Amino acid sequence: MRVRTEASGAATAVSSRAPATPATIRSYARIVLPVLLLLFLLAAPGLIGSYHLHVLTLILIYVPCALGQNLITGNSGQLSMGHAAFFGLGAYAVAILSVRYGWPAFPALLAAAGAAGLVGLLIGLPAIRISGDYLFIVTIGVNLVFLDIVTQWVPVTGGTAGIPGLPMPSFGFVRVRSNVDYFYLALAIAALCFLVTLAITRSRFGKMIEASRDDPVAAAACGISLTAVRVSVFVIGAAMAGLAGGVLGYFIGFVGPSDFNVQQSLLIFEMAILGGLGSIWGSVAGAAILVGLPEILRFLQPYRLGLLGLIMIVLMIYRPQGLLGSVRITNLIRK
Amino acid sequence: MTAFLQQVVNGLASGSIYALIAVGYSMVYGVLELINFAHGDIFMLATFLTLTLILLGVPWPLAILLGILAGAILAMIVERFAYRPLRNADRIAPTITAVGAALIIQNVALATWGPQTQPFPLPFGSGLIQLGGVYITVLQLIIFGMAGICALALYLLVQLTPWGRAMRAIRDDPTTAELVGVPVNRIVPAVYAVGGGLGVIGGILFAAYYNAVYIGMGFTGTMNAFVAAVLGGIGSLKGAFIGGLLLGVMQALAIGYIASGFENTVAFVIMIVILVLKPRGLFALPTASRV
Repeated sequence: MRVRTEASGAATAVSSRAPATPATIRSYARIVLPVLLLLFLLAAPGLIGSYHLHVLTLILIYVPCALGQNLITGNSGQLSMGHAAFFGLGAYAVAILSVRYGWPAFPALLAAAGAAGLVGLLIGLPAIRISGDYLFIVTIGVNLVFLDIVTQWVPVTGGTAGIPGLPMPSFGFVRVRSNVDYFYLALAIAALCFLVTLAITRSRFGKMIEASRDDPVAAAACGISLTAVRVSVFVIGAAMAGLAGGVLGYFIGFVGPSDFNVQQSLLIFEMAILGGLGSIWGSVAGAAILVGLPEILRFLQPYRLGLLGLIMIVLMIYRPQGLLGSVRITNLIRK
Repeated sequence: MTAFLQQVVNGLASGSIYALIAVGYSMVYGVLELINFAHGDIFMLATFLTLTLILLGVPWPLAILLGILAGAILAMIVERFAYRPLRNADRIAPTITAVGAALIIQNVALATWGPQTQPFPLPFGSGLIQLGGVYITVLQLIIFGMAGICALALYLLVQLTPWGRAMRAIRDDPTTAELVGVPVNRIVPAVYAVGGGLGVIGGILFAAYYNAVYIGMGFTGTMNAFVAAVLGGIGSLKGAFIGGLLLGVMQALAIGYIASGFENTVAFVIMIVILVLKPRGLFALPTASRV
C-alpha cells in the first residue's frame, strides 16, 4: 500500500506540465510527504513488528509535548525548560482520577489537559516578568517543585512508589484493548495537537504570537496585549503536554515521579531546538529522533545523556536554528 | 529559642557551602553573563576524583589539592570547547551548551563511578562543641573557617592583583578591555579555573557535611548556587556569598518548622519572589549598567 502511493506520487510529479523546478518539486513534496506519512502511520500496525510499534507509540506520545514546547519557545520565544512538569501533571491527573475515582478516559484526559493548562496559567503569569535565561532556571525550578510535591504528598500521589494499575482506557463503546489500539489513541492525540498547532500558527493569533516575540514594543504599539498572548501560549503548550502525559499514563499503566524529572524536561526542550524552533514538522522530527534513535541504537543507551549533551553543543555552534527551523534560538534574547 | 538557634547554625553551615559554590558561579556570570550550568557537575566529578584518590591511599590534603586542580582544569576545558566558540553569540546559546557540557560530565561520572551514593570519609570533624545549648560540630567550624578564608582570599585576588583588575575590566566592558590589551583569552579561562576550584572546595565540604558523594550533587549544587546568586544580585561576589548564607538558613528553618523534603520548593519560591519583586537581587552591582 505504501509503495503504491509513493509511485503514484512520483508519477504526478513527473507528468505535470509545469517545468520541474526545485520550487514546484518542493510544493508537491509539501503535500505528498505528509500524506505518505499519514498513510504509513495508519498502516503501521500491519507493517512493523510489535517492538517498533511500541517505539512509534512512544514517539507519538511525545509529539504533543514537543509541539507545546515549540509553541512556547519557538513561536512565542519564551525559554521554558520545565515541560516535564506539565507532562507529569497530566499523567498524575489521569492516574488519580481513573485509579482512585474510576473516571472514564475521556473526562480524565480532558481533566489532564485542563489541570496542566491551569498550572501553565499560574506559571505563565510570573513568566511575563522574568525574561530569558532567568525563566530557563525558574521553569527548571517549577519542575523540581512538582517533583517535591509528588514525592511528598504520599496519600494522593503514592510518593516515590507512584500509582500503579491504571486501567485500559475506554471511550464509551470504543475500548482500548491492545497495543495496536494504544497506537491509534496516541496517533489520534498527536494528530489533534498537530492540527491545533497548525491552525494556531496559520491564524491571526499565530501572527500575534510571532510579532510579540520578534518585536514586543511594536507589537504592543499595534494593540497586541503581550501578557494575554504569552500567557495563552503557555496555557496551550502546557495543556498539550498534559494531554500527552495522560496518554503516557494509560500506555505504561503506571505513573511515578522518575518519569518526569529534569532530564525529561531537557529531552522535550531538545526536541524543539533540534527539530527547529517555530517549525511544526521540526517538533515531529525532534520527537522522532530523540525518542526513536536511542531505542533503535540500543548499544548507545549508556551514553544517552552524553549524546544529548553533545547534540546540544554541536547544534548551538553549527546550526542554532535546528534541523528544520527558521528561528535561531540565539535571536530570542536581546543583548 | 535553642531549637531556633540550632537550625540557624545548621543553616549557616550548609549556607557557607552554597556560598562557596555560588561565588565561583557568580564570578563567571559577572564576567561573561553566562549561566554556567556545568559548574555543579564540574565539582561533582572533581569530588568523585578526590574520593577515589583518598580510597587509593593518597594522603587526604594532597587528594583534595589534586581534586581542586582537576576541577580548575575541567572548568577550563569546558570553557574552551563549549563556551569560547559562542563568546560573541547571544547568551542563550552558551547557556544551552553549558547544559550540554553538564550532561556529558554527568555521563562520564555515571560511566566511571556508577549511580550509587558513596560515603565520603574524612579523618576529622566528628567532634562536638556545646555553646549555650546549641551544638556545633567541628566539621561545621571547619566549614565556617574554609568559607571565610576562601572569601577573603578571593576578595584580595579580585581587588588587589593585576589579574583581578583585568577581570574587573572585562566584566565592566569586554570590548574595550580587549582593545586596551587585556589578554581576554587568558583571563577568561583563569576566571573559570578559579570559579571551578572554589566550586570543588564547596563540593568536598558538601560531600563531607552530608557524608555523601553522588551524581546528582552537581545539579543540586548548581541550582542552589543559582538561587543564592540571584538572591544576592547575580554577578556580585559579596551578594552571592550572603545569598548563599541566607538560602542555607531559610532552608534549615523551613525544614525545622514546616516540613522536610521541600528544600527545592523553598529555594524556588524564594527565587521567584525575588525575581518578580526585586529582579536585581538584594545586593545589586552598582556598575551593572549593561545595554
